Amino acid sequence: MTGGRVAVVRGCLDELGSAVVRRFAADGTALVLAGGVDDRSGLADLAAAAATVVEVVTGDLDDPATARRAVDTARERLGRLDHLVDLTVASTVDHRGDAPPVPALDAARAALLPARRAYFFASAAARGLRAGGSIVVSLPPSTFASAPASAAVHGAMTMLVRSFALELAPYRVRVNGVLPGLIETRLVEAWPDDEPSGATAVPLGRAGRPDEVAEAIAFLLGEDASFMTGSILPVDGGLTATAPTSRRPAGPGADTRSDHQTSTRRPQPTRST
Amino acid sequence: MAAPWSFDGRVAVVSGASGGMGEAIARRLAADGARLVLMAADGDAQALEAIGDDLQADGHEVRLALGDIADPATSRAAVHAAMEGFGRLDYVVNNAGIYPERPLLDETAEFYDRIFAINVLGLQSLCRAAVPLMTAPGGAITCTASTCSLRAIERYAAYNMSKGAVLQFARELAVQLAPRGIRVNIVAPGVISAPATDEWTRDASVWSKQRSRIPMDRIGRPTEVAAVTSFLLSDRASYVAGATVMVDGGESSGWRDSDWSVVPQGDPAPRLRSVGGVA
Repeated sequence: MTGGRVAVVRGCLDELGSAVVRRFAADGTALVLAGGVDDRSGLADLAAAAATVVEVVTGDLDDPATARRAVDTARERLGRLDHLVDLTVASTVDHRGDAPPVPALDAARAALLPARRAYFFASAAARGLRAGGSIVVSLPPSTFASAPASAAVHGAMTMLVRSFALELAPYRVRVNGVLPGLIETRLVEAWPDDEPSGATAVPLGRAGRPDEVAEAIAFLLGEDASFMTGSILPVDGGLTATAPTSRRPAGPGADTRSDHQTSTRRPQPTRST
Repeated sequence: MAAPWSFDGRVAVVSGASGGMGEAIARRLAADGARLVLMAADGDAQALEAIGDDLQADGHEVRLALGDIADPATSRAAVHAAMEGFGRLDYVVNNAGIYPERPLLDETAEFYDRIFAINVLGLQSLCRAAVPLMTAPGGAITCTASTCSLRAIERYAAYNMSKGAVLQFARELAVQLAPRGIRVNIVAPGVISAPATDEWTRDASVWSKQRSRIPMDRIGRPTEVAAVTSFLLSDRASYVAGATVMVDGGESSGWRDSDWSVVPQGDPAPRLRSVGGVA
């Protein structure tokens, strides 16, 4: 990321999003911050505090027109579009111990919306990026959520990265993914340290900082990663390099035939974007 | 070829059974001793009925369930047919899927939604309807994914995403259902014989390009996908859960960068000699 460039960032209303905005601002990159209708005031606050030129675009994220409007805003108001950063996080819909393993159609469709929204933004960016531009999407974890419908988002996003990388390569547009692990946010502060998936499960022994993920995103977007496309970069302190320690608390599980799940789940981070 | 084991009257629901891999799976499971509920879209009713008649003429017990798999009622009806008709449900083969081709920049929201409605949400609806009634322990599910679950092909972006979703959904479902004794596995076919792919082999200019990405130098047969599906459902795979089995002639492992018209076939020794290697 260098000065004079323009990026669209979606899904920036959390610590990671703030870190990405700071990282862009440090390079003098102008931004279009995109979000849902309910995100307007939060994005306005973020824009006011950002040390760079910022436009805010909000709308129905389930309508591809909102993504197109964000891209048009970059091109018309800020003159160009170099990057898209899509900070997709899957909402985890059925982590309760008594939830059925497969949700009803409406819930299953809702669980897939993060991938659909990312697809809209990537598609809009594909039509509006400069040659030589780049896209980075963040992926939700594949198994951590312990909900099949949410794991599906990880799979869809994986193939979004690879499909868009393949098909936009002739335009010299690179597409990569970042796979954050346990990152310090308000959501994870509530987790007890002795939870199997808490910080003790991370080989580096701590949660990551949002700026560490933002730095990886900046790297993938920029010229240092000029031969990287279709890659998915874990930024997780080694979490994906290892098998998780026991995900089940001791005790239940002896009689498993009548239960949908054998473990109670810790509270899960949820986010609608 | 009949299997050296028998499903012994256990009951399987197979979606997308009116042709191609689904038909081959249906015929294989019947030959292996399963009783079947075969599903297909309304538009494929004639083909499905012909397969059903054919199997019944051979003495197999078959029920049919027609309808759009994007509608959960279709899956509920199929599961109902198994429970009403046979009194049990042991296996589910999630094979239904569509693979429309379109350049990325021509894709639309409607295009994406239709693919996901069938390939991802339809599959989930069948699982949701079946799982509470399935034999447990001892039941098994297969989900037909694709080499495109892992590696993209051009002009199939939304399809690739849908198959990526199927793969990860099925893996997580395997984790969820394993404690109950229901195994879930993924079959990932590569290029399998169908009207569209058969065209490739007939056109020498197309095939000379396509064949280099398939180390086995041929497209696969639907029966070869059926054989793997049957194995994964059977008790011979009793400790296999959450596995992704590629049935792709080696395609996902690498490709041969060769002009096949000049590749020496057979014994490599003459080539080794010609470059001074061991004889």
